Amino acid sequence: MTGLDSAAVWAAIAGYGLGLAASLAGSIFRLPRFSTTGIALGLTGVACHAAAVVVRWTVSGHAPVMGPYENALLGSFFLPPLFIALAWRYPAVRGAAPLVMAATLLILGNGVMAHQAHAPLEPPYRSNWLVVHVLFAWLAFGSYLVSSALAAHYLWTTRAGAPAPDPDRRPLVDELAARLIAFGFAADSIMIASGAIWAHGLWGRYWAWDPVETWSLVSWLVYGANLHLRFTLGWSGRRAAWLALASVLAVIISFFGIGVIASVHTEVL
Amino acid sequence: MPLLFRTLFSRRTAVTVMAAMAITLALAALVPEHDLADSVELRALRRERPLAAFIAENLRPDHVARSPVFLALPALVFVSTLISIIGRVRGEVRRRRARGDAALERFRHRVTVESPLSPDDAIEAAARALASARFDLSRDGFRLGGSRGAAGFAGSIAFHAGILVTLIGVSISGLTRANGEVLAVEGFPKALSPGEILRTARHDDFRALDGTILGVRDFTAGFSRGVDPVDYAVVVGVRGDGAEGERVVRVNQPFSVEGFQFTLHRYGYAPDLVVTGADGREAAAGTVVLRVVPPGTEDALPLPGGARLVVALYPDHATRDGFPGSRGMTPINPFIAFRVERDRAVVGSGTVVRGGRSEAGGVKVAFNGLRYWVSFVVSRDLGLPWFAIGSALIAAGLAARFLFYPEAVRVDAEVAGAGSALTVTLSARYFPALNAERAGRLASVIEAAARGSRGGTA
Repeated sequence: MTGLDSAAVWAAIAGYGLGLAASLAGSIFRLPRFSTTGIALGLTGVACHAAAVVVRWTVSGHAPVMGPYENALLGSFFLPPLFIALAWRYPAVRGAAPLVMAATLLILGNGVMAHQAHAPLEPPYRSNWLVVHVLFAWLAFGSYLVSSALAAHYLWTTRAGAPAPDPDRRPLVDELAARLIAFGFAADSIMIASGAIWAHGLWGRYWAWDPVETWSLVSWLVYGANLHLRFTLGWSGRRAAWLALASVLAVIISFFGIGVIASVHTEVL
Repeated sequence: MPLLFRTLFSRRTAVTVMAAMAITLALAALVPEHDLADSVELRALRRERPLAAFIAENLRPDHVARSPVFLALPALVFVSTLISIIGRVRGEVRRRRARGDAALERFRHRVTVESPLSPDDAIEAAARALASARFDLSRDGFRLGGSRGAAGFAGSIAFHAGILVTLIGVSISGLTRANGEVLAVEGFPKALSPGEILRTARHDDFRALDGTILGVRDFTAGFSRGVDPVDYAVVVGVRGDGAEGERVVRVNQPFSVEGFQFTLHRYGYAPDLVVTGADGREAAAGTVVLRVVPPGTEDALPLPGGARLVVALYPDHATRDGFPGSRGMTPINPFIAFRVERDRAVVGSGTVVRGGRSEAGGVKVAFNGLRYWVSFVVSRDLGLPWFAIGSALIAAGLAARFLFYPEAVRVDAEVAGAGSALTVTLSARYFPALNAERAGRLASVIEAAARGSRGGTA
């Protein structure tokens, strides 16, 4: 890690950390100004995070996709901008800011603790499909995670005995979570399709049921069923929020669990 | 029968089937991967842990996905999706033919705004505002009707059609896919007769390649800092019907011969070894294909009398803590450590550098030169174009579904005091709260237009 990208990453962590503290204080003490400040600090974190991604990309000469540090750097990148864009347009979701900031910090922090040395792009990664596949993978991941943060926020604000400052806003949070799932599902589909076509050129088959492929299909099916339950069978509210939280488990296993429970793509070159 | 049909192909059943597929595959993905090609390992597993062997053999995702019970699930999804597409298209056609309230979607939100203009002028102003918000409008007296986002519906249909096409592609792949591997050593052209195709039980699938000769030379493996791979490339020559000439082939850059795709898959070292017995006769000679990547990995070649020569190759020899090691993967100073085994007992061991010879265990080993071997995955998949088209439809359909949100609007104008009152009803099929929020924004734009001022965006 160069001095510049190290500084940018730590500045991003500081921005998200302060954003987390401010938005948490805003939620606990019901101070809207703190919540707004939290979002603004989060935005500062996004700017520094973007700088870190650009520096890493420039210095290494390839998209940051090699190893746990680069995966964490890029994987956590899409969460805060997706959420902040949503919170800017729909202030009703701002209560979910602490969850999004905490998730971002967790992923980024985990990456920073990993080996950070630059590694060259391995031959299988030298493909035009790389950026498409990885970009949409992380977009899907970010959308699903932010949607589950909104679902958790919805469950918290609609729990028994919860104060209700503006009950009209609650369905909006629920519906925005569903919209994010739909967006994530589209990105997920592009990720799987581009990965399959890339795999055919790389390994001579577009599908081989290796753990990564299988779990990608599992999460796609889980979110496909999730959307069907919402749109065709009318699930909404707390039931749909619990469903969103359960669904995100498949994604977490897909992105972080496979190295633990099984090997990754099982090919040689 | 109609009830059974409706139940079997209902959307509720489709969701249940998707959940069943997800749960089955998730459980199958937890099965540890064993290399079942290694029958020794499998035999040991069968003997020591029969249940684990059964699970490893039969419950892995690829096995589960080929089972008739599992295949029935996507088949059900296919029929259910087809029925759903037909029903939805017919419903949409009916809905578009309908007039009045029936043209509005399920969730409706009504906002009334006032205007100093007459009802006729106010409805004109509202029409201009709605047109700029990309609504397709029709006017009937003091009533405006309109809709936008029709591409969203088309996107949803395209997405579901994409699933059908993808499933057709996967079925074609399952029925017609040919997949094998061919291994070639530098300097030894290989005739691609069906029997030369490895890792396949269906050699006849490759009959079209009969008569083709494949040769490889100048394999290069590029490494950063000597250990991190950055490039694998090999010059491939093909002679035969419809193919002639040489090309440089890299990972991710397959080439085609007779409709088969060749993909650079693996590589290794192929030392020229001559093994001479104690009687002075050659016990083994020729280029030996060794699977010894990474350095230090052992491979063996059989010798007469049940003996075998176990070999480890170090491409750029260096001693590490008293043991042989390698500085990197480039064969700058190749070095072979070998031992001779008889009846699983080591009877001798030695080392030999390129161009040298060594004696141990009653044999002489000469290391005359070093080549590379490379292997290619040879595949032909007639389902791939269907899969690609289906995937493109899925992606484009979902993008359209997300970007274009079907909405229908109605505006009624009536006289109110000196001006008029406009009742704006915005409707959407999903998301009532978002619809209410949008209706408020749209009403403020219409109100601004009907007052002669500029509002926000709708």
